[in-house]
Amino acid sequence: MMSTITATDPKASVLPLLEGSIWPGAAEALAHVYALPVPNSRTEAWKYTRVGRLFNQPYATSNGKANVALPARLPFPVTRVVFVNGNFRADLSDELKGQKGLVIDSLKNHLTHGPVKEHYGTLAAMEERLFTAMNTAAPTDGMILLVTKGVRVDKPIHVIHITTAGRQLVQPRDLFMLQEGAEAEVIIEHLALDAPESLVNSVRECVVGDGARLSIHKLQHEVNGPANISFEGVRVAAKGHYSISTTTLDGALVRNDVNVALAGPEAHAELNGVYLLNGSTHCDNHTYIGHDVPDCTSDELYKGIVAGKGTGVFNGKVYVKQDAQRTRAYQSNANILLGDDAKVYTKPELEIYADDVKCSHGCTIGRLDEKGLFYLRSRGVSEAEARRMLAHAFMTDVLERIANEDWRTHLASLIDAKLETL
Amino acid sequence: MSQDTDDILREVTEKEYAYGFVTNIESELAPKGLNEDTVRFISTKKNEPEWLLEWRLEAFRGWLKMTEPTWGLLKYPAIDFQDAHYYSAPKKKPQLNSLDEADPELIKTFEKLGISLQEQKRLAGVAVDVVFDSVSVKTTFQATLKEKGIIFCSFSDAVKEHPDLVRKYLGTVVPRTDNFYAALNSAVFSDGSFCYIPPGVRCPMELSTYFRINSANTGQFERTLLIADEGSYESYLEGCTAPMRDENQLHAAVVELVAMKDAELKYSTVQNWYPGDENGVGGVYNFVTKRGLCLGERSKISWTQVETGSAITWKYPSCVLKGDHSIGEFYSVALTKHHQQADTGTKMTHIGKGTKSTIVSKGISAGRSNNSYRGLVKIGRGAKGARNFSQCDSLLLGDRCGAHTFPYIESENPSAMVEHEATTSKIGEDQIFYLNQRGIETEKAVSLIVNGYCKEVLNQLPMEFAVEAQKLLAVSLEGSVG
Repeated sequence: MMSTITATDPKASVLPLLEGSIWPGAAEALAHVYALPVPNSRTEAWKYTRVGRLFNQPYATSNGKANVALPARLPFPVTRVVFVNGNFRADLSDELKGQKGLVIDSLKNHLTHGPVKEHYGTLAAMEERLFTAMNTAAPTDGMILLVTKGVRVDKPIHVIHITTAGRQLVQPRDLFMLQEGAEAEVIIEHLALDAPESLVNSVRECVVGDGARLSIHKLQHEVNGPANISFEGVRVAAKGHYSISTTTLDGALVRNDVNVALAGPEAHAELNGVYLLNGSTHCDNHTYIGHDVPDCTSDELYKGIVAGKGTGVFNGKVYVKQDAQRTRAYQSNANILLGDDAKVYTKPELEIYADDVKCSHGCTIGRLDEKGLFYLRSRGVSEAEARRMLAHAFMTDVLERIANEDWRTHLASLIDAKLETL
Repeated sequence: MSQDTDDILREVTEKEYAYGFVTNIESELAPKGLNEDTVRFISTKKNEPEWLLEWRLEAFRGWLKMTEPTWGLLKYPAIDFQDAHYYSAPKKKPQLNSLDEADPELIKTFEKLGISLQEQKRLAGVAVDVVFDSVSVKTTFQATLKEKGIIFCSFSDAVKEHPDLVRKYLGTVVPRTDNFYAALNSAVFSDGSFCYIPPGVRCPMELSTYFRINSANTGQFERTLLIADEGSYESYLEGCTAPMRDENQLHAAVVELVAMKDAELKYSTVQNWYPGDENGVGGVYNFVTKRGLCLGERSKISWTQVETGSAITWKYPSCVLKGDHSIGEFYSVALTKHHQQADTGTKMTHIGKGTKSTIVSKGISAGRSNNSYRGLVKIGRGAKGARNFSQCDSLLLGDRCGAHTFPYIESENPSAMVEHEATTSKIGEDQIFYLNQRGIETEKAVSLIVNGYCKEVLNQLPMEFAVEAQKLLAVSLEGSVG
């Protein structure tokens, strides 16, 4: 089967790079890659996002040794972990050994350890997902985060992913495991140094134990960046708490899949997103929240402003299993369109098989409030300034959901700077 | 929920279909199966002109190349399209001047359904074009309508008497290649209603067709074409009931509406095909394509549907808002129980400037049924200042049913405003308690709440129809919860 590469297989451009990996389950995943087609407009999950062109060019293996200039440190204490083209760079990262009960390291070095063997590959089912299968077939490297029972990580972990020039295929693979009552906060930042032809295809699996709390803040500002496709598979146990806020400011083609299983009673998931798109940035957020057991809650809020030739896509699904009674699920997606060539496609879905539930979703697509603009202008505020103020206000409620004040302030300043350019 | 409520819900689920009787009228059947000869047979039987036969055959050839859509959240065994009769007509074809001459059996059937023609006639204001199986039996009020220049007749008569109009509009809203079932209908459609309202005429009465599937193993494929010319107004009612049959019956109708400048068309449906028994045996498979085209400026098309029947419902009455400032509306109540599955909703395609659409969908699921809303709101690049509001609510009665919402919203114009909201919940125990406290028993309380929940949609129905729809909801939920 491995020898069946034909000139007509549209995946031929990536297949050679996926052969021979020693990561767990790689061979099976490779077979999966061979079997799956490249998603097209008739593939429901990729209806609005074209990926065919990503397979039209050959890729090189990722270059882990590239020289990079790191951005300034965040203005508050963090543990910094750096990956260059998906490869862990100890030389650029902070000292990672310190706190007791905490492991932060290159995942590659831990593949044979108990907790990794137990959880690796369990939350990123390949099914119809070509990109997840590609990642599983040959991960570049990634981060392991293991927080043992009852440990609170003392400061946020700041992971920086940098993609450098060259047509590289970069496949980061993370595994985060929080045992009972553990707490951690991770900031994940994606940067690019002139890498418009690369493909970054990440998979992250997160296991949130009983009563554990994991917050992830993902920031994507890859100016002149690669195609960035990511899948987050999450399982939250009883009374566990998982939150992710995804902020997309720049990129060429961005696709974020967040797939959460609420697997124990009273588990909670909070998914937030901000996307400010211009140029020809295409950003597609897909979320799936599975309410598998009773008494779980989820809350989802995605907001975007789309300008220029940008395209914003949102597809959120809340699935309530039979007997998952007393589920509370809320989902909202609001969009503002600026510019004649901007587009928004949104599809908030509910699929419910239990009756004692309160589920709702709402979505809007519109423009900046004309009356608000008029009010501000009548008070001497210039039109440009008034637009910025309204846009800023539009984003406020998503930002307010970020508990970490330091990060929120920093993010707000990045968002305001981006708003200046819309 | 309390034991009481549970009991009532169980009764609801076990309520048998009240309209399940068979009228024994000799019918003339086409042989089972589907091929070009079947299409020719139908066309010959109906004395159709050559162009229509060609039109059908082309649709049939297109259909052969198509595959059944599978994207709906529906589970059913594969349909054998060769195992059905594609034409069934009452043999004693009545040529009647008054209702007294009609087949007494037939009259009885309608009486059981509660729409006796006399009754309807007496109530006045409703002209009925009765489609019994495939052939239109009797059209009333022709004369009154004729005075105003309104053409309201069966589709076959329209083909004979107004071929130019039929030829001009047939397939312009739902092309033969639109989808699998529309293609099938185009090839084998039996009869249906045709209506043309001339410019500036306000149709003085509500027009109505009562559809009914009777013979065993007949698929029913009616085709409706309504045209409202400039500045005219028309309200059209469609009601459907089918008798109890164990085998699944196929129903694939096509409805095309065209509204010219300043015209308004209102299309109301009460659909109560046989839903199958409580074990999910039997029932009608309802695959319907309904679409309205707002062709002229300021035209308006409004769909209202109350769907309580069919084992499978696959139906998306849609509006194409082409004329500037045209308006599309969709109001729907869908109730499913036993093993019924409904995948229904609408598509609003905004093309013209300042176009507006409103969607209100109320789903009620009970038993082991599944009820999905699936809708598309598409704002095209040129639809400057377009506006849409959608509200999709689901009510769950029982813990073995499902309620789902799949809205697609696409906007390509920055001046458009689109809002969508959906909620899913069950009837609150506090609501029931409140009503119990005031001496209203649980059964009535649930009925009240469901009625209030659907009110927004029922209010859109013409009065006589609203009464019938309310009755139908009550009967469907009967134990009756209501």
